[in-house]
Amino acid sequence: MIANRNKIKLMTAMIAFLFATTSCVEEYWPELSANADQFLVIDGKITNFPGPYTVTLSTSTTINNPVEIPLSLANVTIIDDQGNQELLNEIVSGYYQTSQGGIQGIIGRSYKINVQLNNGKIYESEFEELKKPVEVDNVEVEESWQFANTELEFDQEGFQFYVSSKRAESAKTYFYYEIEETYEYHSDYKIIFLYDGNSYDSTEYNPWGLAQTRNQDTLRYCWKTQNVGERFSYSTEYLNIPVVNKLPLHFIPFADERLRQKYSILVKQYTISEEAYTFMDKLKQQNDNQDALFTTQPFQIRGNLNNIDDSTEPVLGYFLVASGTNGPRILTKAPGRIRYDNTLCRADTSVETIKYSIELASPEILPVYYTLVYFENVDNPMGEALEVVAFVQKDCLDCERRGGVAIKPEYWDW
Amino acid sequence: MKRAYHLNYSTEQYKKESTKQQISDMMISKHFISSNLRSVFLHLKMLAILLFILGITSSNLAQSDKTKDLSITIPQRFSNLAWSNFVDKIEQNYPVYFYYQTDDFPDFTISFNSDSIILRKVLNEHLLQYNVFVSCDSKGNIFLTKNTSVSTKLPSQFFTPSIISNEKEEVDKTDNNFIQTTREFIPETIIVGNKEDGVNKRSATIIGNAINSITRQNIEGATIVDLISGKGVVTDAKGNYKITLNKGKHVFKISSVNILEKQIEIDLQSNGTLDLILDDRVIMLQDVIVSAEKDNKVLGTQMGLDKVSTKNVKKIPLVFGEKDIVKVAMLLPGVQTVGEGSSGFNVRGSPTDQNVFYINNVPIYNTSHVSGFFSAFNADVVDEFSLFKSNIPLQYGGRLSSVFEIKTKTGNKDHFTARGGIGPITGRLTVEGPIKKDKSSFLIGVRSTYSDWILNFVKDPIIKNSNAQFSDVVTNFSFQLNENNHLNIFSYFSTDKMDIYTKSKYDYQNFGASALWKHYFKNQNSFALSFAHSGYQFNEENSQLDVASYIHNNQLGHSELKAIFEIIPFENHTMQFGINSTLYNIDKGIYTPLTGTSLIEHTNLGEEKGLESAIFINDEWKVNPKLTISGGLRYNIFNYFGPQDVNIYSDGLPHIEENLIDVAHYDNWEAVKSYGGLDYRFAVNHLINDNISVKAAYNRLHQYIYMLSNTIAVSPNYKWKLSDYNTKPIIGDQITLGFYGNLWKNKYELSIETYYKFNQNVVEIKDGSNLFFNENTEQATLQGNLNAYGIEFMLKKNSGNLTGWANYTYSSSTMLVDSPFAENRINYGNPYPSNYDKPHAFNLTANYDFSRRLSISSNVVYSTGRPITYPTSIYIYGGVPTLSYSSRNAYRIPDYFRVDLSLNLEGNLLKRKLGHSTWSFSVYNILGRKNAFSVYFEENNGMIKAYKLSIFGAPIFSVTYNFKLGNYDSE
Repeated sequence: MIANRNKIKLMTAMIAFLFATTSCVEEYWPELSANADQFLVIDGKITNFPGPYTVTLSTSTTINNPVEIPLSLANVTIIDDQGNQELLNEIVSGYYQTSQGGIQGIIGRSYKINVQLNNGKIYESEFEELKKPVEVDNVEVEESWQFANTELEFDQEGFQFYVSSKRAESAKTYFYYEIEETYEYHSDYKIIFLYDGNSYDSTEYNPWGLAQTRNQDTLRYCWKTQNVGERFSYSTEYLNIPVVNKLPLHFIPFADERLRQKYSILVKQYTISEEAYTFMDKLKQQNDNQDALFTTQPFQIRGNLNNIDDSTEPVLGYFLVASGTNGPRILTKAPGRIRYDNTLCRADTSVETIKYSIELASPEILPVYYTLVYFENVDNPMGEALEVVAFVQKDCLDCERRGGVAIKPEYWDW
Repeated sequence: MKRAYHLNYSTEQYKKESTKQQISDMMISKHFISSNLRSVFLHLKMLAILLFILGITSSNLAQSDKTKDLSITIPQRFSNLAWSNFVDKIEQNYPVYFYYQTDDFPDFTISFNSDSIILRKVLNEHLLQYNVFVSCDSKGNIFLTKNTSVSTKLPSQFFTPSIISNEKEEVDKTDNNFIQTTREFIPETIIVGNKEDGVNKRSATIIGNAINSITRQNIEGATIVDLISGKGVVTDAKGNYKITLNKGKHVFKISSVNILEKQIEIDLQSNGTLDLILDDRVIMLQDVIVSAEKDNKVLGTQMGLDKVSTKNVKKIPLVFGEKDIVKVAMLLPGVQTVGEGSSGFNVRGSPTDQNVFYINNVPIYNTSHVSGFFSAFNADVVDEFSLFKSNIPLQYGGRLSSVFEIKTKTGNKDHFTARGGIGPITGRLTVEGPIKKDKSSFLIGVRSTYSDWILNFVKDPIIKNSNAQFSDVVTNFSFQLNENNHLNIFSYFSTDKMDIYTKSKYDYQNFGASALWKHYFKNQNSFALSFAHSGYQFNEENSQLDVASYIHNNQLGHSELKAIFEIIPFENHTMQFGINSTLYNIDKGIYTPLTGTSLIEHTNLGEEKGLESAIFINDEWKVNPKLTISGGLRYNIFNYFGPQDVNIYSDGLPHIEENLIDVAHYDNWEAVKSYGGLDYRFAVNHLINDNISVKAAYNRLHQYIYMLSNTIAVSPNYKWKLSDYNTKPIIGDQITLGFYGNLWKNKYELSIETYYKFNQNVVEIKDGSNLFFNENTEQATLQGNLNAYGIEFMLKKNSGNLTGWANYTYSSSTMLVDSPFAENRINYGNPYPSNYDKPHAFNLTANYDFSRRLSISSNVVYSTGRPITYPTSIYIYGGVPTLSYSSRNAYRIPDYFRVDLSLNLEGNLLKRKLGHSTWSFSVYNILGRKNAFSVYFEENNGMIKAYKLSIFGAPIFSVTYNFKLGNYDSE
């Protein structure tokens, strides 16, 4: 339970503040064994949403150098209790996907996964039922404060999102939330000129013969959609009514760049099995509670896959059977009083920079973008400002290079 | 220290005859000298120098003072007579006293073969070679001083009233009812018995008890000699004596090692009682009890015992200026804790729940305030505590690792007094006094926080509006019903409240009371009957999440009856036998919704009760003067009673939901399960000589209650649970071997103890199981074995200006939870170090007295860092880097090292004043070392970072003000 989990943490905060002057947290990297456990990791789910469904296989690795190590050449099969099954295709190394029009999650049926590695080891999960989803009743947002627990953190003001559900049919219902966030962001400068390898007419302020762009805003406004990297789960086990009522989800501080323009979240509420909930809850607890005075002993959290020949072999990650519903989309914007710092993007008007950016541009980095900056004319203060071509790093001009797309989602205007 | 005096010249006389002009009389009373010579001589030395400067030749004074005492002719020959024996002989035969500091007095023998020799010559001949000077005054006081001689006389006007205007505090307390006789001061005659009863009898018997006027403890081994008849007796272990004399006048001279000699005149008229209230001889000058006799570790068969008087801990520097006996206990060998802020402690590698705390027979289940930062015992009311780490006395059962037995003070039976103190966190007040003079007394001690002001400095509105409070109250009533019966009624209450604004509230209370009746039979046998009840309750209001807000209360009741006979059936045997029965009531509590909007389900976790009964018998047999054997048996029977619905699982299969086959109902008081177990103790002590012994002990104990806590450092919201149908009792065996020595004339005490422990059925919490809301705790727990061993070295210095102890412990503590079933294993069935396994530990605590008014003390604490589980690999799950942990406690946090310092400043030493005060300035962790409490890894926004958390990462300064009624020496 969230309440219980926070309890100890709060008590710790309390004590820590009682001794505010003395307790302290500092970054410290202990010496760790270089030999990491190399366990099979599975990540994927089948849902009642239309496919295709993706399953990734990888190997756990050393903490000192965390990179995902994909596991290729495995046979991954999703099987239902009606005898249907589908072998997934490896689309990218370690990424296995069902086909379009392939197996489909149907409420009431049970599903399991079978993984056969190319070293011959076979892993399988137990059947889990795809339960009836529970409707999201409401998603809310409130301004709130998040207080620092340690001196490494700051008190932060921001948005706290909450979710409420409709009443579930089953008294013991277990929820798992995925939050998809979408935010708008802008490049700092318009792309006014570009160098595409060719030379065009030069003007007074464009002596390099750069091409002039037609639609200067094309790559200026972007929208990025991603999953919030936080896990949320909830159980109604100890409630007298199986309903989620204003469960706090994620918090985003106003200072966060994502709130500079507009921000939106879409809550996906999944109903999962008790085992899956326990797994999720343990992961969250283990990550969240370590900073407290009264922490529990960390331990290995295994998922639902087992080596069919050796049940002692640990397998990490969980193959979820989850039925989901989407909540209402929430759009929001930081309050007007919040001021954002200028970005680090610099417009460089030096002739040398521009010259080199043209001369040294290799074909694969083309086109090179330029903007125009305006200077007050010191000789004639009353006259028009001077327009000067400036070189700007590409990431500061082409918003798509920062992960988003320059296509406005249809739900964006509000 | 100074040996006993057997004088025919009382101290009272000494004092009465002294005049203000005579420095020796003012500065040196016998008492004073014997206890703290160094500081006295320092004064004397300074004065001597002063006098010299003033042109008064001190040597002249001393030399020219040809008192008759030093011209005494000794008509005897001595050959290799030990110095101390020589002193005794001379003091017995001539009206002289010797004053010297025994601590660094040379060891030599006296020899001379002339038939008569002058005392001065003897002394000079023997002492000058050691640079010891002989001085004397006109009263027959002989001062032996190193490197300097003492002037024993001053000009009468030497001190102006402004220097010593008041009578300097004098250590001897002359009773007002003492009157002057021709040579000696003796009190007014005390009439024992009455004439009617004594009719037609020649003789009468006096019985009574020798009691320390301050500690109110019985004095063992006090000699009572009737100077008229020459008859004498010695008090027994309980301080009792019995003497039969002819009716009529007698003069008793009472003396003992640690008490002030006293003479009283008695008019014996018939059989009667006379309690002898005796003043302490040493206690007044130094804060460390010199208890070479009383706590002689070399003697007896007890092992693994640390006994500490609160006077010893008076000056130990502590965090936030709180005198804290539990923190002091942590400076003893073999006592560890997971970290600062953890409730309870770990003794010799055992879990916290294997310790029991008794305060005057009342068990206390939560011994800390503010979740582990302060102990729940007000040191002002504590007289002493004993920590039994092995060979736990048979009268105690039910806890495997240790018994922490706290004895509180009893109220002053003579006069009303009060004491108290103010520190940054708490204020304290203790009042005590007679109810009926010399017969009964009361003591009430109150302590409370006012620490909320600290929170106001915090910006965080949640914390600012939060508060934390605690307080505790102790009352102790003592009644001497008659000479053979004593009754003690004690109560304890402590409460803690934490209110975390808008989030949650906690409060917990300990409450308990005990009654102890002690009866002494005529022949040194005794019987003690005690009844104690203790309750602990923990209440919690959680409003963190409105819809899941709840109230939960849980409580524990412990009612204990104990009857013990202590008899001496034959010579050299001391037997103890009795019964001990404890009824446990645990209410696991009900979860109820806190608000109308809360959706929390009303859940009753149920109640349980169990009765632990035991019968025990122990005999200590002094086989010969060198060999003592002690052995005992204790048969325990534990009944787990209904009403209870008991989960029955398939035989031999793990306790998981799937294996649940039946639920059996048991009615009220129907025995659900009975466990019988035989505890035994066996110990042997072989004295190699008077000062060195070796001992060995083996014991087995059973424990029927354990703690449910899944945190590494024990958090305050733990719950207690009884052994039941599904959980077996915990069985512990311990074997101990030790070497004990009193070195260098008892100045140092050395002990080396080594132990091996094996516990079965120790309860561990399954990885990740939920202990809240859990109705079936057997599904969340596993039972395993604990292996621990270690060796402890302890060196203690009890006397002199420098006192304290140093100890080093090497130890190991390993848990193993294995099973044929994977789900019943922890750490894959491999052994792992327990959370409190700290192989190397070193503690030093020292106090140095510069003078009676100024002392400094310091602690140095070092230990290996506790074990910790670090992640062994990382993987990406759901787009989030996720850590995977596997081998439990395979790493260690950085080592712990801390130095504390404190300075104590006593108020002036005037004798007549209303109150005495002390300032103590202490710095905890003076080096400001950021000792790790834990090291943890955290994923945040896709990044893994590691952090080190320190609780006290900077020096903590504190100032505490203590006061008491009376003067420096008042108790």
